Amino acid sequence: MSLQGLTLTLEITAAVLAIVCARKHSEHRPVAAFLAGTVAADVTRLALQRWIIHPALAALRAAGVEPATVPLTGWGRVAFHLDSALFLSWFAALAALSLWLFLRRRPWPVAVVYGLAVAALVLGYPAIRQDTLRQFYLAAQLATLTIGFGALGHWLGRASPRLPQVVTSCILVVDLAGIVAGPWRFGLFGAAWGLAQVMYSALYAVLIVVQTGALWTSPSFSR
Amino acid sequence: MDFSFVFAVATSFLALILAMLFLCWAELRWHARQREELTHLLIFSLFRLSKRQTRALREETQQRIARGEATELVGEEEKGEESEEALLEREAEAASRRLRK
Repeated sequence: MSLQGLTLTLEITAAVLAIVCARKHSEHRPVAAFLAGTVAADVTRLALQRWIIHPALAALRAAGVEPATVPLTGWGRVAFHLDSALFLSWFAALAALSLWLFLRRRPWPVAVVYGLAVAALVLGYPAIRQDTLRQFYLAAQLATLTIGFGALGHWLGRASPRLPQVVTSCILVVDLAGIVAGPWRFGLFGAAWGLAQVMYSALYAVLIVVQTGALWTSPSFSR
Repeated sequence: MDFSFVFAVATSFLALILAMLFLCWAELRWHARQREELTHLLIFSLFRLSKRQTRALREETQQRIARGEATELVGEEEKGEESEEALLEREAEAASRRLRK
């Protein structure tokens, strides 16, 4: 099994377990929605890359053009923007999840900012691609971590940590670790994305263990 | 690249372990805070209740003494022997006991 396959399998398992937990305890629903949405986004991105983006890039190479120098057009461009929007959805969803679970704030402002960010990516193409796009994603990652850890810090000590908060904290710390030792350090596009897959595999494995433990000690998660 | 992978995995697990420890600390801190707040609340409420009721009772008793009723309530065996201050204390204590019930 490839690293990508392993990550996806663990991700799907974690999402299924989250849905099972959410069926027993409604407070886990936001986490289940986040993980299920992530699976849907990742599967869609894989399909877009495999069937539209990579063939479009291969066609450019076959025509003797280096893809890095020429912007995509047609369906290739549409798929590229969809791929970017789905990639950004992780950050938006994580920020919204943190705001809701730690501060009980509705995520509409995050949705508005996400919409603006996607619009900026679409309107800014082809200026925003390659290294500029990497910086754009890094800004989104840093903003998400700021919101997430800010909300977590505000919440700490005010309530007893329960399963949804534990899961969200784990996701936040692994995202932070990604800045230190992951693809944000060694290169977002290309082979270094494997680092992200390794880190997310570790995250999903821990989420599987934590959620299974919570189901095992049901009916009340931690107390 | 191999070192990067090991570094990434080690950093992830270290971050996750630290997060778990941090959450355990948050849980303990929350419980400690709950206990502390509960104790403060109990002490504060008892103190406030007792003080307020004592003051109200003191005023009421002073009025009754002024009307000449309080000395009749002291009890036949202690009538005339107890000072005004002792009388007030006894009445305040009795009222506090009633309120706690």
